[in-house]
Amino acid sequence: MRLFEEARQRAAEYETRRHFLKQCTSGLGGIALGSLFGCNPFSDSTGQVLTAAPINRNPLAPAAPHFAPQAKRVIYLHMAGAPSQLELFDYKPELAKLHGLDCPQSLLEGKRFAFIQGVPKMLGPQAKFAPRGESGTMVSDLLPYFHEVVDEAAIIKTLHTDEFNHAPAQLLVQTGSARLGRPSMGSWVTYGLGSENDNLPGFIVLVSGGNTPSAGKSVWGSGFLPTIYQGVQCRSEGDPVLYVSNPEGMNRDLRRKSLDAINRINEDEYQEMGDPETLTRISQYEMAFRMQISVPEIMDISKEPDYIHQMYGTEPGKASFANNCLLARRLSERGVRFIQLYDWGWDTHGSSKDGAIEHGFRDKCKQTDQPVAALIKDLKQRGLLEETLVVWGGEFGRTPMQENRNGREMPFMGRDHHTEAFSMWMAGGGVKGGISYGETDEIGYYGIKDRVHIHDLQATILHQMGMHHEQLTYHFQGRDFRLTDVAGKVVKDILA
Amino acid sequence: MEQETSDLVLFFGRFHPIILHLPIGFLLIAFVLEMMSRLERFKTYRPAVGLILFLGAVSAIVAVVLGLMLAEGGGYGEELLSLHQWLGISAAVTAVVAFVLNWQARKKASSGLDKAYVSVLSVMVVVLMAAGHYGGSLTHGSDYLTQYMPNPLRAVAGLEPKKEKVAVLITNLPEAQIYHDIIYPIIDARCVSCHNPDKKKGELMMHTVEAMEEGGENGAIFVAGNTEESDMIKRILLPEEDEDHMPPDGKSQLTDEQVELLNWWIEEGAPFDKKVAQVNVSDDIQKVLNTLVDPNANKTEVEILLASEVKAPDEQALNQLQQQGIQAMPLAAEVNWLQVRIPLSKSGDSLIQSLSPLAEQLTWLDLGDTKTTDQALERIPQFTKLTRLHLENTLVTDAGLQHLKDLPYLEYLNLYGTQVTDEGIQQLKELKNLRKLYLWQTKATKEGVAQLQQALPQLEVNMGVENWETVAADSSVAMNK
Repeated sequence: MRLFEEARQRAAEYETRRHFLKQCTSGLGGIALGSLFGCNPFSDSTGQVLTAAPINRNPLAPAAPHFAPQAKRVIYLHMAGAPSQLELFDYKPELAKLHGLDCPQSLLEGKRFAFIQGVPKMLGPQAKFAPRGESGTMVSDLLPYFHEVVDEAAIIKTLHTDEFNHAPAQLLVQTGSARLGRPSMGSWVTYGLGSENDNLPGFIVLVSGGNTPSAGKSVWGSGFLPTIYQGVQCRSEGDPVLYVSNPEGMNRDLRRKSLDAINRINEDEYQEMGDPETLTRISQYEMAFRMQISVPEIMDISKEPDYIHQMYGTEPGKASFANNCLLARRLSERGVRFIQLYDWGWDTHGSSKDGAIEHGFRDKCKQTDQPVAALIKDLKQRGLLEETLVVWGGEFGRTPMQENRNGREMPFMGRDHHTEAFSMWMAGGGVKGGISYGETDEIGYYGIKDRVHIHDLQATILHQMGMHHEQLTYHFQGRDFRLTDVAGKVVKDILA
Repeated sequence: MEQETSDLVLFFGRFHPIILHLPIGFLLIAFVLEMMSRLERFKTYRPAVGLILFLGAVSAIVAVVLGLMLAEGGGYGEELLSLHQWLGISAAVTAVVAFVLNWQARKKASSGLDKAYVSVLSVMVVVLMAAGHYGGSLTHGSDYLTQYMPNPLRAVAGLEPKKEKVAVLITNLPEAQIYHDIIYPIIDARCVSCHNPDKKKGELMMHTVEAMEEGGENGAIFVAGNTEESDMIKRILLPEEDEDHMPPDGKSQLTDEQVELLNWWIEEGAPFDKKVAQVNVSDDIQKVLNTLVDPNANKTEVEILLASEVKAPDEQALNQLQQQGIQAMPLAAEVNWLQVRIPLSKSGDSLIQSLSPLAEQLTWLDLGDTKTTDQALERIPQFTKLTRLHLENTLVTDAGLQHLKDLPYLEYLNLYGTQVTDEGIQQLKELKNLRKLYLWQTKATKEGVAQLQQALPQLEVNMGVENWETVAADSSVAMNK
């Protein structure tokens, strides 16, 4: 026994560093070969390895779309937490008759809910509906201001999604995949079209409601796209962008000089390595420098006239959805490509007063209704709505049943997460106004005609921006990726 | 009733197209080696021929069996199928005979046997080729090889010259034959390539009226007057990825307009001999029908303009603009129409002249929020292809608007935040294509707008938000209920 151990010890002692390196050669050679053959993480979308390209390549330079676009920019109003379609847009008088009755087994079999257990009771619509606008579209009385602009909007009633929890569902809506790591819609759009404004990011994010969306900042991340395309979060309270102002003792000249020095080093680095992330770094430093002037100016809404503040219901200096709507208009005037608003607090389970259909939900409607309608009207009177696509929606819908978390009765009225049918609307940007698309069944549980998947919605948004969703691709880890994965169909019937 | 073919038979049958290439390869190489081995230099190849012939004969038999199984499934033209079937069987038989003769001839070293062997081998190759050719015709259609044959070669081969595939426009719509002039061209373009006497997918042919009426293995393909019961329409409307969808996934699909026309034809009783004037034509169908007379029927003049070709812009002029910090971008990739946005810090007055070389291509011009004055508008008539013009928040006045009347394609005009008045906007009366006009925060009034709209009834004018306070009051009542 000892003899063996000793032999092994001897053998190990002979294993020198030189041996080790020798044994590694085939492995290292394989890695080198892989990068030569194009499994290179730094290759661009055409599959070619970027070698030292001219340094003035601006990744945000405006680029021509695949075909002439209807919309030049998008304002996406995401109601994080998922508002109930049954209290807003999907008019279901039959459901009112079933209020309080046990939910039939046929609707529950084989279904998974986030919270509903056992047999819940049906919950009738908690709002009054009437035809609104010249088109006579049914909208509830919780959105009185929206009635004024309903003739601009195409309401899709048959959205459906694959995910019944907030974070994955938000990721699916914003990145096309329920898992982390994909670029968000705004990143894809700025990657495809660049930015029209040199002094502002092409993709700006504004958050209200006191919380970021459940999926965190990945809903405006750039995934595997160069990080220059990720959303830049601006705040309507305090410093508009964190750390955008110079620290004490640093004046603008000194900042310029230090940036010049850093850029020279980065340029050398890029010439040597050809990593597009270096280009991103250079342009981001430059962008930040310009933003030190441009952002405080554009984020300052105090100079807007009084009638505009009245119209939106804005209060300068506060963080609110209304302020964000006004900012969205200001940003679209400056040619920002993708403006993403998140408003938190729509998750109405009925477990607390804030999250109750009859209380918190109504408050959210009240907070957001006026600014949304004001945004549409304001864009319209400035001639911007023509070329700006406004999208409103949550990440999924709500059940026609009252939630019964843990099988118990809830203190307030509330609805559970629902993936099969929910409503969103789009306005402007070449979308028909005053129409409804798709039909749900008598209780709004399933879409029964013209169902629209999240990928279809994304394909439609890209289409309005002049891009084929199947052609907007990025080569990563050996294959082409796209926003709509392997699905998506443009909803042609809602386009003007 | 016809007996259903079992799935297992069809399952194996489907392997026929895979296996059949083996005998073709084996038997051809056997023939080539046999011929070569007759030369002194390649004598050494001879012993291999026997083995290859054996493999060829065995795989030929397998291919024949699988082929017979595949034929059970049906869906092939009978004449062509029987020709291919018997040629295939003959090829297998001659291969077996050739193998036996080769074996015997070597064993007995008889020159008579050898002669018989060579002749059988040669016949086998010819039969094999023929079987292969007709097999190809079965799957790809009999004109597969000649479809793209250049016209001179066609003349040599004795074929008719290629038909030019241009959609034939209808000249007299009310007198047009619904089936012959409208419906059949759609079917011919999208259905007949698989549903014809040669191919007969699903036992269905669609090349003649009789064949259409006969239907396929699932019976009639349409029910006159009932689109919902018509198999043809049902299949067209299935999602593309559905197995029963027609035309199959991956083939050219019908356009929405074509589907509408097929629907209309069946709804109107699927007539084969009626004229358009003899049936009901809804407004939607009329619109589609109009495109058969004039493809541009439903397009606006602006859409037709932007769909037309224009020559590429002058590179030098583009570069010069770039140096002045002005973005001149094509509307889309591979399109020469241009859009230009003047940066906020500049004035259109001084820059407009540098746009002159691009006058032919420039169609969207954004001078909004700049210090542009009437001076720039004096030069605007040269840009006759402008369709969208932004002048919001500029210093232009009524005097400048008179120059816009020479822009026949102008569709969108934004004048909000300028000094224009009722008098000024009347000068836009001649812009027949103008559809959107923005006049918020100008001196224009409702009366002036009404006057303009009399001349341009399709014009939509936005004067800004009104009565906002009353909305707010109404809504607070609703919310407090």
